[in-house]
Amino acid sequence: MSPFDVLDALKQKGLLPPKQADALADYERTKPLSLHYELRAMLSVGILLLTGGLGLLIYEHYEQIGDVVIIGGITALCLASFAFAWRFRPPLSAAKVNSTSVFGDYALLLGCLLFLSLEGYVQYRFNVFGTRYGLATFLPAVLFVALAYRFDHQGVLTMGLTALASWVGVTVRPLQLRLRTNFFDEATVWAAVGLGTVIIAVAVVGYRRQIKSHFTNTLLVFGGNLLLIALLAGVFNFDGRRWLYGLMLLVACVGFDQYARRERAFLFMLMGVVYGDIGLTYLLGDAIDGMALPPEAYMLYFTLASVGVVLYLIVNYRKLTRYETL
Amino acid sequence: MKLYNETHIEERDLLRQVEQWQTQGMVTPEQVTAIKAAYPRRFKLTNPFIDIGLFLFTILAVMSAYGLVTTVLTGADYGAAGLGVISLLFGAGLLFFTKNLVHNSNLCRNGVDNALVLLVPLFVIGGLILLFPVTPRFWVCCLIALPFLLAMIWYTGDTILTYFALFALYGGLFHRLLDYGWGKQLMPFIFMAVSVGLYLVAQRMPGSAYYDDVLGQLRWTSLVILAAAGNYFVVRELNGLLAEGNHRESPEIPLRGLFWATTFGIPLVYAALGFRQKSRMFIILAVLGLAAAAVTVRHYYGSWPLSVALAIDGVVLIGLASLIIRLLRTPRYGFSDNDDGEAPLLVVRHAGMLTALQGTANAQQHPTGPRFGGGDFGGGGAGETY
Repeated sequence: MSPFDVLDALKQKGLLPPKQADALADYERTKPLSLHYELRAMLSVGILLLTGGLGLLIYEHYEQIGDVVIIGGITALCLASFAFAWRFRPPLSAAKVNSTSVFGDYALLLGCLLFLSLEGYVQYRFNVFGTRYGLATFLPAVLFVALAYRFDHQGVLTMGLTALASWVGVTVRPLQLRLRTNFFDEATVWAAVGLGTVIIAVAVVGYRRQIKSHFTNTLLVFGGNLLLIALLAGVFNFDGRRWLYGLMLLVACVGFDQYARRERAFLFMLMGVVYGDIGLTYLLGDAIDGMALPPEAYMLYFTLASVGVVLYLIVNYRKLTRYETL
Repeated sequence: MKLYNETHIEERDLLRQVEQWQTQGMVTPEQVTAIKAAYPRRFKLTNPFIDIGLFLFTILAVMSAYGLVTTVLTGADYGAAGLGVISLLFGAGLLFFTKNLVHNSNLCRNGVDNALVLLVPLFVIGGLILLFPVTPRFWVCCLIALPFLLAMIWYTGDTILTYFALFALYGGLFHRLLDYGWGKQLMPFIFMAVSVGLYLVAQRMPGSAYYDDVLGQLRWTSLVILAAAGNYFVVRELNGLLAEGNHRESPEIPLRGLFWATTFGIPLVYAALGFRQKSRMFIILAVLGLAAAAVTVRHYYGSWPLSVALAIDGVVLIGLASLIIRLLRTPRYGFSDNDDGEAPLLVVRHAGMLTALQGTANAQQHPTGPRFGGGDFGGGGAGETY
């Protein structure tokens, strides 16, 4: 339905005075087309290509270009980006604040990505961190999280969280829709559980104290998925302590469900239900393993469990929003 | 009689438009209250995340129920044809169930009905194909599927089914043309002609709220295929793949000049249309098409290594975007840089976040040791053809 059809309908029913309807029609006919998001997407893609290209370039051609030029050049670009971001920095505040320049946020993003390239190169050529690979990923993580809070930048926050996750052994690559983990190693699972819990705790504290409380969802989604995937991996991979991981998974899922109910944030209800369903199904399958049940029993279970989840989501959604939709 | 009530969908769209005017301060709260009283909400409201959960678990439930039915019934082993009959009956039953559920619960795209609407034609088409003693060839399957998909799209106005129908059309056509020598030769022209035809069909259709999304998708997809079918890289490499014999490099194609002209011409036409009609779709497609054209030129004539090319592209994109943002500080030529909350694609809106994640992953590929090459570099983002 075009805006003009809407205006006609409203005029006909006498819900809008003809003069105002004509003014609205004029507005719709002459309003400029906003390219706001498209232009920003273009900036982001440009930054991704530039840093990706530079990242490849230095490893392929460092012998021709020389260390001094590479390190000097990237450092200069990186410092320039940070300087630009700092010049147009937002005021220091616990609330949501914006950079005073349109390009401030993008300069910060570029600076951070260049910093990662620089650090990687220096480690590769001069082995600055030696074999302490943990420190090499932990350092940028801390820097990025700090910058994210100072500059109020959700993208840099995600970079910091991603770096933290890879510090404990989990890499996230959205363009390949891939998540690389080493969850057959129990220490990695516990590290991920610990990190997930810490991130969730930070989210809760930030929310309660109103410190950048608009970061809460990003932190909870990131920390929550890390925690739940790690616990699920524990259920799958470690025979002996399967039920311990299962119990922790259950507690985490119920926790997210409760939070979702309180805040009406249904993403977290969905997370709780999906991870809970997978974990429970696996544990049940494990328990009845070897009982030689007919395939009908499995099919019946899947049907009933899925219908159960559907009803659970509908009933709870209705219950929680009853007063809002009326 | 369609699945959803057409008038109710129109009224829902009307309310959305009014709410948008309200956020822009173009109508008074009193007027909005009066309009909302005149057009009460008819459909159940839900939340996108709840919808996703309902969609996934409905699919799981229906597939398991189908598994249950077939395992119970095929104890007597009816063969493939028997399974086909079961699928057909199951699909028919599901259609009946969907119709009742939607009418009784006032659903409209709430996840459950999205899933059911998708599954009904899949069971029916799958069942029909199983009835054949020998599985028919791919293009025959597409031909069987198309009328059912179209009927279901007419009935529901569903967008995912529209993708399936477009896939069946283009995929079936591609497969059928391979059977003929002239088919391979004329393939790009046939695809371009079909795409232009589809676009014109979408344009000529009388506008209706029920099919808004379907027609929008038809426009996007047909224009993308049109540009791809006229792209020199696509034509030459596909031709090389289909040609007999093993060539190290795909051979030069006839009418080379014509395809170079369409490689740049089609995106340029999109750009002109986008500028004149103030159309977001044409502008996005023009930018992507021109980027693809530039990459095509570089693929055949470029001598720079990939890394240098990427870095230069990045600088050019950053420069262009910055320039246009500065230029549009005050709206010009009918374009502006004001955030009016309208982004057509989620990818566009979240490009910054994706960049941060992917950029971190790219940069972290190297640090821990002498791993050269970075064989799985993530690619260019936003649909570019690196």
